[in-house]
Amino acid sequence: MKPPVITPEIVQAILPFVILALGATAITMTGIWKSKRGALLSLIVLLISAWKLGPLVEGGPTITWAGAIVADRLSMLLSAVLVCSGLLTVLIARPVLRRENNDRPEFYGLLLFSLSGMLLIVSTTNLLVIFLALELLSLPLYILCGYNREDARGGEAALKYFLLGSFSSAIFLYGTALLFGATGTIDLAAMVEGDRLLSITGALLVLSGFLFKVGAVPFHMWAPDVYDGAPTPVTSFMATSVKVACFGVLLRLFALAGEAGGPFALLMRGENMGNVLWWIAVLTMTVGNISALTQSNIKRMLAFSSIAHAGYIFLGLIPGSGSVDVRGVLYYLIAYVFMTTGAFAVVAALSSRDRGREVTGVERYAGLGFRRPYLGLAMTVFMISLAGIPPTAGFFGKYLLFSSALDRGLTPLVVIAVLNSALSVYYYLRPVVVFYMRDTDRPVQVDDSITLKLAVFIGVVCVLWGGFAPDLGSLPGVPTILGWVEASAAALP
Amino acid sequence: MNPYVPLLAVLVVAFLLPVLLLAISSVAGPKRDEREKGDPYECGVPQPDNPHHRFPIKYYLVAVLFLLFDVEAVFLYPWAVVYRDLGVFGLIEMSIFLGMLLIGLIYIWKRGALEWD
Repeated sequence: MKPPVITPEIVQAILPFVILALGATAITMTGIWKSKRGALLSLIVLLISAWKLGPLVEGGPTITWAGAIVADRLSMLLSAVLVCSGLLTVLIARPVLRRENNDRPEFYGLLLFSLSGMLLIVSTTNLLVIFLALELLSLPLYILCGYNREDARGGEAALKYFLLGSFSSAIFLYGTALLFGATGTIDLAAMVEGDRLLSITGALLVLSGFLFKVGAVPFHMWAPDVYDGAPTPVTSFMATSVKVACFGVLLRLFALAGEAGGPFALLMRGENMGNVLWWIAVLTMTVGNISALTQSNIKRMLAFSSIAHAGYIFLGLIPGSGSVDVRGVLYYLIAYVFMTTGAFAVVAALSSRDRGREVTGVERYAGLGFRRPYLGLAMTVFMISLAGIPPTAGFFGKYLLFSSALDRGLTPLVVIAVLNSALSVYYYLRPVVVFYMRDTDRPVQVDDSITLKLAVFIGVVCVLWGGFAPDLGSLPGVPTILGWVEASAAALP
Repeated sequence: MNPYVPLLAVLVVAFLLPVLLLAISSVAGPKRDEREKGDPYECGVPQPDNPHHRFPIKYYLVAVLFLLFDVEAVFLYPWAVVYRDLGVFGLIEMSIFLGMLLIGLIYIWKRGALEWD
């Protein structure tokens, strides 16, 4: 057997991933002497990884290593977003873990392991490497969900996520096997249409595995319980990074299928099975929004809202009369990361534990708008952005997705999405109403640690930056998110 | 003729044979119902009490660790078989794999997961 040639370019391309994996191992090992520096070490590892990633995001030729590693601008931009999300998660996690007297380096080690899996999954077209990365990103998350051993709901969340996640991984692997049987390859870029029935079944099974991970209807049942039961920093990480990674893979998958055909093109054209993706998009956003309406627990509300947002993102994945909307999906994912992480940072600052149970009811926020004006204002910005009201990144994300979908002739879908957006304003504005229009005599407990404030601040800045400078040239000299996104979109066929 | 027809025949026979055997023994066989027959493992040892005990979580830990290093052996064996063909490249790859498991072993050892009490 001839070993694959390892060139300096390949080493450079996988260096961010390798740094994260090695750093995760090292940080976990510091758990032997119960080090308290896990957060600091993981920040250093993440920053080194980001530093090595920086030049790659700016461009350069696409590097492939027999399909196992594909380092183009798309994968590098997604990696950069994931590393940012990891940094924010560490910033949120440290004060929360300190407060609960539960600060172990293993938490950060597992976080980095999961993150390294995400970096790997967005930069490959090989289905087996995707499966490997999917496991690498899922296994640490199962543990992190049950990180608080005193919290029975955390254990329930971990068990639920683990069992259902294992099933979805198995379904994904089964789909991979069928696709290999139908087409004779596991490289998505090289896949051509094989046996029709086998191809469609395999593609559906692979898609189901990912639908589970992003929490799309009808594979969303686990999401509310798991998001609610897991510790808030972990919920924030799951709701953002996992979605970015999995939508990154779906984006590449559908973009490749749009170009080269193959099993997934059969699925997208949907000739004899109705348009699967169309129905998934409609169901996901409608079920997510309607379920979120009645939630009084803010974490649960954000869980349903993340389901709804997955539905909006599916709008960009449906080709309609054109091709997949890479630009819109990427922009929306970036906006979604910052607004959701920011909202969870505020939730983390305001939550407390009552006999092991985390308390995050919306009534806790009464009067916050006057007592803590900055925190209240930040939460208002995040909620407005999640609802899709200008001038925020969330608005431009929706605008890009919806307008592009209109151009591709998906008018009924856009009408449903806009109605859903209008519906969502009700439950997003409820915390804001509680902030400013209700008051209590109870003292407000707020976590005042500097890293939480930093996470909230970064979230607000990015949400407003994405909202005020969505396009090139609107603010001279300021780089725009859309500029990066468009350059990355050009990397795909 | 389709080359898979003999396979189908084998499948049918393989399905019918146990069905037939079970049917014959249930019709023709003698039936004596005794209390001992309801016990688990008809091996003569009297059953002390109900088997549904709570057992220490340590067994679970041992099972998980065993599984981990068992899988290691599963990977080692095929590597040993084609060792000469893989050469230095295979040796390096295997060293990385074993090194990762070694780090894991050091971790669980130092954290006291291998101590029974």
